[in-house]
Amino acid sequence: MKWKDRWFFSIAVIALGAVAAAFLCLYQSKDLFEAQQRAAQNGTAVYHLKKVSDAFMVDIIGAVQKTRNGASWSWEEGGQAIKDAAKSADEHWKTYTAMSLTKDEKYLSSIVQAGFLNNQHLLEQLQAAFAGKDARQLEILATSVLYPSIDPMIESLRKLEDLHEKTAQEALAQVSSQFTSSYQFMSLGAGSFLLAGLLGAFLIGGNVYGPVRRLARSIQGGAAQARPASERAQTTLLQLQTGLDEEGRILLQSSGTLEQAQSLAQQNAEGAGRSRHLIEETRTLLASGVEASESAAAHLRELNDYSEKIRNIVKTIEDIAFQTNILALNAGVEAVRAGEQGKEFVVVVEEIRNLSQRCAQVARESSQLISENSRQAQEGLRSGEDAVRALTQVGEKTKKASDLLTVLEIGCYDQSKGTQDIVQALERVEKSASRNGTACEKAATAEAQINLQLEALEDFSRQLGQLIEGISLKAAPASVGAAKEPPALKEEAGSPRQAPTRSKNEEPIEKTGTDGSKVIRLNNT
Amino acid sequence: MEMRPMVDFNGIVFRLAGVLFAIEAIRVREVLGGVDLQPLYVSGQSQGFLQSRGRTLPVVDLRTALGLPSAAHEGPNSFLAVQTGEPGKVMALWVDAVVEMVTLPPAELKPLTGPVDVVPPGYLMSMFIRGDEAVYLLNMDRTLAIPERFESENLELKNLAG
Repeated sequence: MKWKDRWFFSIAVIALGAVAAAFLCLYQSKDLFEAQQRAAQNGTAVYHLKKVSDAFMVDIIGAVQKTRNGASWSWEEGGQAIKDAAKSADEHWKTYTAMSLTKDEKYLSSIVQAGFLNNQHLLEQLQAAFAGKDARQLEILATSVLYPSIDPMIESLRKLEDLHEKTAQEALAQVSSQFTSSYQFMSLGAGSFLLAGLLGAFLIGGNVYGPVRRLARSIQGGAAQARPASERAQTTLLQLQTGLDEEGRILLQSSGTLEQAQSLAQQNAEGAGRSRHLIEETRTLLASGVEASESAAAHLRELNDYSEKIRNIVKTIEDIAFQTNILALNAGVEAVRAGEQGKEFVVVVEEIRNLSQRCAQVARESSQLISENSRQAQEGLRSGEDAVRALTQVGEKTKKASDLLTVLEIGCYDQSKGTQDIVQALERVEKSASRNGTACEKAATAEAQINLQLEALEDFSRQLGQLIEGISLKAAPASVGAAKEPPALKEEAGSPRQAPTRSKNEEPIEKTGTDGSKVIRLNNT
Repeated sequence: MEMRPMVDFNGIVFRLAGVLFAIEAIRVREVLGGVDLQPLYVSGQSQGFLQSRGRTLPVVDLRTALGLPSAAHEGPNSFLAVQTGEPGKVMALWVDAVVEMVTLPPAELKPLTGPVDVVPPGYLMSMFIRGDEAVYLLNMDRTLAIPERFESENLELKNLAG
């Protein structure tokens, strides 16, 4: 093995060690990061607490003192300053209390919070004094109320600040120590790996080549054998995806056609339903018509009966008129037989005859009218009966039509429902095909990536093998400190490459894939 | 034989076979109408009998007696109970309808202008105009002679009603 090659090997080992060390450092830097974060957080907390205390000690007390001392300071300016300071203190305090606090910090915060609430009334009184330009009230507040109210709260704020500063200091110290230990660890680790690399390059380099070369060849062989199978699988998946896409398209078309059919069936059912309703209404009207016709026929029969009775009465009147006429004639005959004494009676007889003839005439006319009325009633009765028969027949026909339309309506609704079920099933199938197509596409993509990886692996293993063989060939005449050459390497010198012998554990396992292709896997992988 | 009464003529006008005839009212005992005829079989012109005022009167169809075309009597039956030549003997003449009783001055009666196709000659004496129709006055003696001949032959009266 040449020195140059050993240096390469050493550098590779060192690089691997450096990477490992870097990972360990990154892992350790997690604590470092947390310590930094804690330091920053405490710094922010101190900032907000200082703002709150400044709002009271500087702004509020300062405004009060300025006003009392008669400085060029208007009441309005003072009132506004008080208001702004109170608002600022409130905002900063809310921001601070929203942060994550420890147990001790929360305890001190609760004391400050209580003081905050107590001082709200004081601030309101101050604002009222400024608004009313009440100097006396301001004097009272400044001398008797202001400092006693604020001092306890300020004291608690100071304690809180100290606590946060202490915590921040501790965090910074931890960061510093973490940096130091990481630096020391990396230095130690780098030196160790450097030494190990140098030793390994000189001591064990030679013993690695054989297994590594066999490993490289196995990997290359496995990748070479796996890649065609993977390509075939990718091709199959693409074909399957194409088929599924086509299937989905056909299903969509079929679904659209069936939806149209379902819509038509629905429309037919609705049309049949409307027709049936119309026919039912017609039947109702027919029934009403039949009923009206029968009622009219009944009235006509009744009218006919009355006409018959009237005719009988008129006949009686005619008979009476006739008999009256006969009686008058007889009276006339008797009057004639009576001779002179009967002459005057003849006049009476004549009048009676006239009356009877008039009565007979009226009776005849009435009889004629009644006969005509009866005749027309009979005709009307016949017409009504004909109409009833016709309407009854129409009703029967419409009943049959209604029954047929009911059957049609039910059939159309069944057809529509069945078609809808088919459409829903097709949609489910289409969605399944779409999902399968997407899965095939993803699988094909994965297969393509596998192909690329296999190709890269094959290339890498080929390069590694070439490198190993190159090294072994070049190292064949030099044997300073080299380990014993494996028999396979000696045979390869100057002769065509032969298949390396494998140990039993490294025997490849031949398997058949789902598409019939053979897949080679190493037993120890 | 013509008759020229000197007083007003009182007559009963009746219709027979569409023709108006008249007879003297003095010869009429009663006018009957709407009376049911009791059928009987008599060879010749007698058509039956009827009851009137407690008497049984033989009925003679004047159509047949005068040789007029026979036809069914329409409407209620009308009879003229007339006095025959023998006192107390009355018979009923079956006519189509009794129209009226008339009283005419003698001048209204007109002699027959010629033969009348309706009845054989000798049965009519005169005529008068009623409205726009001619009324023929029957010779009662000649007319009533026909049933008297039947009676004289002692015909048996049999009830034809079954």
